[in-house]
Amino acid sequence: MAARRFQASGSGMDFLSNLPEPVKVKILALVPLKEAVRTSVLSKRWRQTWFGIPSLIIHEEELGVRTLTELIELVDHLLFSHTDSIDKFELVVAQRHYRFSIEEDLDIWINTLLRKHVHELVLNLGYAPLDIPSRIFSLPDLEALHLRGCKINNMPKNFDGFKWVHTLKFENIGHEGMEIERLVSGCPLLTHFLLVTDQMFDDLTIRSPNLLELKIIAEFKELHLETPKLVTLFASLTEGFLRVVQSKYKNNISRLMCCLPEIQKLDIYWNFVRYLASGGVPVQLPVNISYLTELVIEIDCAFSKHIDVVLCLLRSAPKLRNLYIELNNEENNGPPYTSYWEEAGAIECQLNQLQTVKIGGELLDLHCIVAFVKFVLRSAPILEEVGMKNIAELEGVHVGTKFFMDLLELPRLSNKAIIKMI
Amino acid sequence: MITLTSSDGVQFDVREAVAKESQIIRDMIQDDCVITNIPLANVNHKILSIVLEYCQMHVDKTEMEVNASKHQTTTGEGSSSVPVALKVSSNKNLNDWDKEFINVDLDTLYDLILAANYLNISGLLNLTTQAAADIIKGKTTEEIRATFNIKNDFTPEEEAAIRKENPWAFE
Repeated sequence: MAARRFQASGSGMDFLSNLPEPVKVKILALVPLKEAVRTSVLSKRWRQTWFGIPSLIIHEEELGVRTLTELIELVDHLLFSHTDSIDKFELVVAQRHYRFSIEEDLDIWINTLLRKHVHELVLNLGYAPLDIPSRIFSLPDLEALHLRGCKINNMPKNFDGFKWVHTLKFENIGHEGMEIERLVSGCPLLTHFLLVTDQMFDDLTIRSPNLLELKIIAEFKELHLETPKLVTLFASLTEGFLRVVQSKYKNNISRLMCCLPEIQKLDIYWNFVRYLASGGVPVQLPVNISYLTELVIEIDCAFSKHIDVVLCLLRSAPKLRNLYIELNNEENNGPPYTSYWEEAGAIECQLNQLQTVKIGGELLDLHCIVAFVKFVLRSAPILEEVGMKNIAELEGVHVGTKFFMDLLELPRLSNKAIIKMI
Repeated sequence: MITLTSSDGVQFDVREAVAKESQIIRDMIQDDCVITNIPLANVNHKILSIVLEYCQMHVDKTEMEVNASKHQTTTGEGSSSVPVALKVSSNKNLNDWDKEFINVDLDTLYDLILAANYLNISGLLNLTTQAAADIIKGKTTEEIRATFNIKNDFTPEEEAAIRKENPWAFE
């Protein structure tokens, strides 16, 4: 079947070269850059076809570039031969030794991209942040910007925003002062924002009226969300972060959640749960998060406040359908609060729309797991499934038949509910 | 029903939805809703019948999905997981079908690319150009020339000069 393809066309005609130029460009855009460039020697009619491909995806390692000079020559040549506008420019520099010497060239390339009306710019410059040229802030047609291993520190004073940007992704970036905040609030159409950095923010304010999706893995003393349309929030504080997480605000969870009236999916990890828990956790939020259908949450069962956060969110999310909970218990934090799930506060919780629950995490205390499952089965009238990460696989746990018997005997509100190991 | 007439005079009667897979026909019908017969000067009957087979299949699949989700919404809340599963499986089937469909000889592939481009059927254009790209991928310059009957009209000096412009591409 495939062999037929490799034979010359039956009629002996060179149809491919005769295809309309835009179609030839479309085909070349679908092969790797290196192979597209090679088509320039096929014949005179292919000499300049690749100049029109709309995306320049330059992954240094894939292209087999060996030295800095080679890389610079390559990008220069690609950019200057390319005649049309460039939709997407992506540069991934993998080797460490390049990083400190391409700043000037980068500046020239960005200037060229400015003239080519680039819509999407991806710069992945490794790990130690490299200053990005300030010219980047004057790309007028930019719609998506993805920076990795860059430092955002020379934003012009008169930067008046990216009019068309809908997506910003910043990973392993360095920053100074309020530049990230200025940048974000300077993008009126922004809908997607990713921020991954281990550099500390004092007060981080995300002000973005049209933002739909926010993913933040960072370190901050306080977080302010002015994102009334947010649908999805993923929040985690940088890993290995040992500082005491303490907000200066009372009822921190209410302060943050009440700014998110449209939220549908919450994905929050334990240091962020700690942050939500600081300043006291109310029984219920002052305003329901009425659209929340999916909650992913990681807690340490040693902290009653973490459980309070879970219960508070459950009570305030009447439409919640799917819950994924990671139950953990780090050794240093003391034993888990097993009884908490059985106390009066938990009993009143009604999970009327809850359909599936998944339990993950590394919790070794089987009683605590049974207590949680009992709580769910008792509170969710249309529950269909409780999936449990196969706990027999956890090191240090001896799962006997008693555990399964305990689970089987639990009373359940929904007659459809099944429990299974996943 | 709409009648499409191929360049060699063969008539095809198709449902409007099938014909409308083509952007150009969609525009024509929108501009003048009494049109029932459209001559297609650039597509012969052999290629047109293959193109229509593609359109028919894609329309049928889409309609099946719409019906399935309608059915689901009438059966009430709480069953939303079913149409998703159905959609995934029918997408998978359609992809398999596309793969089998595009397994044609090179001459037919060119004709299909031209027809998809002329009729502006984006799905078919994507499918056919991807197939052409897959044939080019991984081949040396000589192999590409041989596969597609491309005559090298450069002098050896000219070709060497172009190679020198982007030496990294030819290693």
